[in-house]
Amino acid sequence: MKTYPDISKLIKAKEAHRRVLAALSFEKKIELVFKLQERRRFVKSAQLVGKRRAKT
Amino acid sequence: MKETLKVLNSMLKAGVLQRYAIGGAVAAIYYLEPIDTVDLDIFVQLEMSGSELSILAPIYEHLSPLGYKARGEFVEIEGMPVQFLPVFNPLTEEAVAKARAIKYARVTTFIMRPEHLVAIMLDTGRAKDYLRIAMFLEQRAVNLRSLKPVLRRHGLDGKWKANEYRFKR
Repeated sequence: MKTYPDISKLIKAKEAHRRVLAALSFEKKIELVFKLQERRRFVKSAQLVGKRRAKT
Repeated sequence: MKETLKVLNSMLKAGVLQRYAIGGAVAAIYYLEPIDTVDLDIFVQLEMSGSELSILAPIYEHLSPLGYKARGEFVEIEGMPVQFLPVFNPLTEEAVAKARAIKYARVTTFIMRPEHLVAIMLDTGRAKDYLRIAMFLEQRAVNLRSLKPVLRRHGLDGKWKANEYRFKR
């Protein structure tokens, strides 16, 4: 029978990280959202460049 | 966002808004971890009442000369897309009336209480709303003792019971 790694530790660590994020100040959390948006814009523009390159 | 909030507060002073409260994802972020969102949902209580969305016209008329133009359903205020939503039922009216006064970068603002946010999400009932309700419960960001009376008052207890299984792991 195939065995798989136990990722419960990773999931617990993720949950702990989420709790840390939730405990940040409102200002800090909003700052993180803005950073997230910037990152998303960057990924989108990179995707567009990739698509344009693929066309040419 | 600080400058955006200052503009909203100036609208209170000018009497354009009777009351306002931050709702939607930004309000959820206050209680939860940061989640991705593009806009700031501002629920407003206006002097005027009516069933038409034109009741929002005074807001746009006030903002336009200040250089804040409408883009679709949003108004870009100090770099932040803001969506104004008039209170549209007794639940949203109560949520605005009972909003919590908080400070954001030393600016006073008003944010909906978690029990109202959860009740509004349940009422709206999109997949992402249910997901956020689960986050509120999981992170104990909402007190069930405060939530249950809100659900009862607004006829949502049946919907809660019918969907409770979605919010529990």
